[in-house]
Amino acid sequence: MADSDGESLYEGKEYIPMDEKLDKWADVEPIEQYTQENDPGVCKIDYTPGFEEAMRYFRALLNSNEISRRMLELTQVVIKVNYGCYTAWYIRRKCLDEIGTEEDWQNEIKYLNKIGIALEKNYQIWHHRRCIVQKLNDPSNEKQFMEGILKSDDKNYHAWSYRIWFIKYFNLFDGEMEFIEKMIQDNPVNNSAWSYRYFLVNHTKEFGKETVEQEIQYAFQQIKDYKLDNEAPWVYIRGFLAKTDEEAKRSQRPNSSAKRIIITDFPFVKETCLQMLKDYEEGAHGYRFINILLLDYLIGEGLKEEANEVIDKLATVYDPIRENYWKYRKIS
Amino acid sequence: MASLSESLKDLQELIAEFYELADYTPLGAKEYNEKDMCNIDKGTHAQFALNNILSLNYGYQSVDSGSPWLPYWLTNILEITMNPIEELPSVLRKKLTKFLKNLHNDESGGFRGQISLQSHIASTYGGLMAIVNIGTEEAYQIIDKQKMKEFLTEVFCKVKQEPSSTLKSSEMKVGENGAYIMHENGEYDLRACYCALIIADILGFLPDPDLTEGMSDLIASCQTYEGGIACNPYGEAHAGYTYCGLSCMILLGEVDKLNLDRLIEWAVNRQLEMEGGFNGRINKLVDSCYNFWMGAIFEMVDMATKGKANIDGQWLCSQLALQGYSIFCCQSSEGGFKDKPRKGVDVYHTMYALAGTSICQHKSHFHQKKVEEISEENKEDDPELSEGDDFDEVCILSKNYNNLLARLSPIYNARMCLVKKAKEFYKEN
Ligand SMILES: [Zn+2]
Repeated sequence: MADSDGESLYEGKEYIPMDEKLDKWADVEPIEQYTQENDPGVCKIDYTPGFEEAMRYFRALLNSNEISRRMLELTQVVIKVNYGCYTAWYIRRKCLDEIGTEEDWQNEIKYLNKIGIALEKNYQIWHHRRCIVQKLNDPSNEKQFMEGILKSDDKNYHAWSYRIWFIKYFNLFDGEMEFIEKMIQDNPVNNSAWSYRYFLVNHTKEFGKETVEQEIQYAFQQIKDYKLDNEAPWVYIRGFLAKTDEEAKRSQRPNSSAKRIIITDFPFVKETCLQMLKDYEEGAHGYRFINILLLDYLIGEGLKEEANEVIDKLATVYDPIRENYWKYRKIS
Repeated sequence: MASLSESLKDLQELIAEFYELADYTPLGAKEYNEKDMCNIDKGTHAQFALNNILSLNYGYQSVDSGSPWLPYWLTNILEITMNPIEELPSVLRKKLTKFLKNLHNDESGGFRGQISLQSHIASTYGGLMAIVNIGTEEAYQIIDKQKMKEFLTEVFCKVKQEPSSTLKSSEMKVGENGAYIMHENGEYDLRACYCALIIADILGFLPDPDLTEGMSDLIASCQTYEGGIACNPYGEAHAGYTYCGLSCMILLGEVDKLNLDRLIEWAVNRQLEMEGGFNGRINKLVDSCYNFWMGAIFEMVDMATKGKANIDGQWLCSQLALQGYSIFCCQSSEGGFKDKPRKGVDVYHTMYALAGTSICQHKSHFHQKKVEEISEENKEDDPELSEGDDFDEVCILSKNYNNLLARLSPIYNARMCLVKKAKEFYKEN
């Protein structure tokens, strides 16, 4: 497959029109997008010649239900110019299933590694990769591949979803905690990394007071070391506290094994907030986050009046763009 | 990673310059009184849509495999910007109908993303919404309801397929219980649930457990510790998926399975104080397409709480600051909207920027009527969504009422009168 047409396109060579390669395509009658009758004359895209030609041949082979080596090659040409063409990806899987050799399957991963970064925002390639890796039952390339992708964009949504899938599916949790600490350290505002950390903690540690406390301390440290207005660790802290709240509610049900831990079981949260309110200027970016966390705690303590005071300050001084929301939160 | 915070700083500086030129700040939006500085040039945007209906540049090749979306986006721009009394020219409707007819899959139901491709649920949604906007019987009749139901059943994951390496790669169906996959052997996420549910709702298939069983539990499991909704359990909350998840829960009548308080908290924090617009995830950049994905969430939480999530009829965000971002930072004088300054305009961002701006110009219906009355009506249908608006009942930057856009339903992202008309047709036919 290394010398196939599709492959050479990825080497950056000039596009060779199909009809110049008469031998391979001589028997194919390319199909136009529209006939004269059904051409609607609206929403017409000004296609590039390579795009149009690849699709003409692809339509022809699709219409004759061809599953063949040249179809496998053609899908590569189509993907090159039209990577969102989900049916090309589907037909590729079909060709591999029906006529793929052991070598073809191994090459498929190499092919995906090669074009992966260029197509990192494309839905189809991630799904395709998942199907291929599941079929090969071999995740040994995945962590390394991921490294390149995250280097190019450390918030790539597809990449993080994909990582969650293969780590869980192949049970590869070993080393993940170290990996994510490094990711957060490299870029503490990367919320995707925080979100992944939450996934890891929930799958590798027992939920309880100790875990919650550790995670909150960790997030506080990131805020202090880096910057106050980093929303990610603040939300991370409040997410764990909200989870304790849910667990506490669940623990009230009969025969529940849920633990009754609540926000006031972590008095250091309040202390830290009060200290931070002193350490930072009122006008500091992110000052509102300290107040929002403090507010959670005050509500947990049942201190209605004090909570309302904080709400008023948020509405008027610390967070006026969300004035309506803070009015909505007012406790009556 | 310095480059990311760098680009944020660059962008903020640029936006600050734009605002300075207009003598405007998002925080001061309420007091802003420069009517002439903040026009939405509706005629130019409508013209932009018409030009694109005639021909699209090669940049749209990237959405070629979702081509039924194009007539939807374009007609929606026209519906939002044209005076409600005006109608789409009938020649245009005929041609767009012909365009969609070519893409309908007569064998297995639904719409193909492009000629010869498989049916795709997102393209099917786009195609149906285009039909809703075209609004003629000829267009309605493109859809084969029976085949459509078969297609939906085909891509619904009623019972999860146990993953295994013994399955053929082209026979894997990766969705969880209650999920929809995008197409035969395709990927799954909450967009597919939303598209499927809107289709089923408009065509009158609901309620039907064979099309929805397990979906609300799946969506609830996608609500994250941040409060928003992710594409998968334990993913990162995202504006688009939160929009899809919340819409589904409202259509299913299962909003109680979500923690709405936390969802609202996450949502209000998507509005950026300096930019005035929304981002779609924590610590990401502002983008005008979130005008809609986020803006609609505010109206929907108000619907879900039967009118409790508004302050004097206004949503829980700053509606005026959002309008300021669209007008000063995203609007092009040649027509169309961009995602953010320095980008080019495109049809997708134009539609979603306008749709979100429209939502942020309007107030809660519950504010206008007594809550009890509304809940009575709720029993049989969605809350009554009126077309015309009293100027007291809108919320327009600098009280520039010429800017008023047509009101949309946040759940369908179309004018409610058109959705109702289509529903009535499909009820009978
Ligand atoms: Zn966007």
